[in-house]
Amino acid sequence: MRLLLVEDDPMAADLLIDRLRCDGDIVAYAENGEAGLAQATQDAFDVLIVDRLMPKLDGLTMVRQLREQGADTPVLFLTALDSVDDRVAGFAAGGDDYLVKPFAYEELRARLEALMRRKQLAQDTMLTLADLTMDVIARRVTRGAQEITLQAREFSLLEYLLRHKGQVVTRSMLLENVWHYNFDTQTNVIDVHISRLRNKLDKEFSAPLLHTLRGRGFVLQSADKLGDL
Amino acid sequence: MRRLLRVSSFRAVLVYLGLFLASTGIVLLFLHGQINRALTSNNDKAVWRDAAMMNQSYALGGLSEVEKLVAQQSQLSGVGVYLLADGLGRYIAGNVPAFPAPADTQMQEEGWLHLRLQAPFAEARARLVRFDDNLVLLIGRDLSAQQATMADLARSFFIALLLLAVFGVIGGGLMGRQALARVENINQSLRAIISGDFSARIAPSSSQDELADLEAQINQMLARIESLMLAMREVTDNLAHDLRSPLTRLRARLEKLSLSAQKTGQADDIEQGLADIDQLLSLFTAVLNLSRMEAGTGDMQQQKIAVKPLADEVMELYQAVFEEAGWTLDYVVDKAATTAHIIGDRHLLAQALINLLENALVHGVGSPPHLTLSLTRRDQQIIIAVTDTGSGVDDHQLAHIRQRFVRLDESRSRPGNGLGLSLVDAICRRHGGQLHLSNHRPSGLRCEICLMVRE
Repeated sequence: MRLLLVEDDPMAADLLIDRLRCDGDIVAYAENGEAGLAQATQDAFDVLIVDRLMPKLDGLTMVRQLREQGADTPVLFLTALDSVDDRVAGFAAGGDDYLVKPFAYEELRARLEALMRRKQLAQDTMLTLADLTMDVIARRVTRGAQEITLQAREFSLLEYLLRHKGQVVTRSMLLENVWHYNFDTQTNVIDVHISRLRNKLDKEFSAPLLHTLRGRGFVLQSADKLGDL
Repeated sequence: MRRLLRVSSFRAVLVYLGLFLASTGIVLLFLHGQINRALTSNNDKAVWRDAAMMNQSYALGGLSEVEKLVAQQSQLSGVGVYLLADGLGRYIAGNVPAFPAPADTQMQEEGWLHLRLQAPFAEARARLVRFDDNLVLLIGRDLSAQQATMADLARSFFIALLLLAVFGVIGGGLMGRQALARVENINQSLRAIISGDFSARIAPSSSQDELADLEAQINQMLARIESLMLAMREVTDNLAHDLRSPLTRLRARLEKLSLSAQKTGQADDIEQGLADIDQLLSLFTAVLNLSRMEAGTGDMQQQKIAVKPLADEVMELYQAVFEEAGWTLDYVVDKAATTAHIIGDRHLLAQALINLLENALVHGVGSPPHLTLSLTRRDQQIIIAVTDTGSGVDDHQLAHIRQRFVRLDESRSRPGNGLGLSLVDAICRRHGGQLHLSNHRPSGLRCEICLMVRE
């Protein structure tokens, strides 16, 4: 992935860039909004990671100007501002995702992957993985020859997982995108729903598709391809 | 009307009006008495004049002269009452045929008599003139005209008092209403501020009285509060930023260490360090959110929210969690509550309800564990109640558990930071509602979120 990190804290940026490069990403760095805007317009990136509070040009203004110039590169805001209004302002300025500091690296990783692949997946109405098929319009799910009956929310959950098949999705991504709540819960509520979905999806089949990755999240993928993650 | 009575200016008007009417009544009563006395005194003078005239004619011409004069006077249509009688009281002349019976005769001051007479007279004030042992004259004046005048006068006075009272009440009511409207204006602004809109001000009125002074003072106070709130908000935002930046670096360093420590076997310690940071952060976030909510500086959407779908969603999310944990659930919605709407923030209310559910899940485990979520409409309120079958809370502790960092679990071994109920409480108050906590019989805790319904 080609990434641009715009962050005014050089120490935090160093640490993050190290991790990203370890995972094979190509990372460019700008230490304020002005430099970030210049780089983002010059070079092509897959995703921009933008801090909100920065000298010279803050993240919101930078992204707004970028969008005005017609650039549609996905933007993930990385910020210490965590209120609902801050979040709304981030999306209004043209951000695509919003992550509050400090964050687990795996959370950022999962969200970057999701942002990169989002565009190509949004329009599909027939989603498939191995022998699993979802018809989004007819609201039918089949695995092999067998039809799987899902409740409305289970359907949304599976749809989200299918649209991000092969990617790690985190608990907070699911809570935000499937249930539309953006606060953390104290209980294992997402795990319970995942395990119920898994019961319907995998129980009667030999090859499980829905996997839990300890400390990272969940992934919908054929077992033989799990090694890449 | 009851509200009008509560207004101090209207009450003051009523008290003044009462005093004014009482004193006016006393003055009118006094006036009435004086007029009556003046009329009586006029009558008396006329009788004295008559008596003097009779005495004179008796001195000049004896019985025949008096008899002639009495007959003459009696002919005159007027108010004079005459009876000339002999020593045994037998009628000689006059317009009264006989002395009234003793029952109809009443002795008054200085030889005056009050008589009740036959028609055409009614009552009379008279006295006796004794010419000699054989000749007596009853002479007086009929009182009916005077009595009628006094009755008319009393009626007029009464009507005047009544009009005064009516106009006084109406005027007082109008004044009270005007004051009430202005006080209501102040109240409205204050309510807006209590619900978190610190930019609200009281609209200045055109008059320049003490109420206008009060409004100006309150507005100044509000401006001061607003600037303090903004300053505090800046502090919390800066604190959030300044604390998060080093925590972000610390977390990234630990994650980096964790990668290389896989080989040396210290990975568990580092994982624990990461978990500690996350716990620290979640506590910090909770305190910050709570402080913002309590101070009213936190952002809050003001949308119309249907309560039942919101509860449905939360229930749908948590039903599985409760079932997995071996709980049974009841979800009861009364008919009037199904369509209830409130104004507020969907996220915050969902969070409040989720906090109550998670609270029950951790602290309200009974045997068997059972949870009831109910939506009830009571007048203008919607009540979202979460009831568990756990051991409840000692009555004397009920008041404390909503305070910050209060955990009844002394060992603090159960998960939680002691802020959950505080946040629910703050969210309820931010929405102009309340959180009610009570023990449920036979056992369990009942938490009620009470909110005003908006049509």
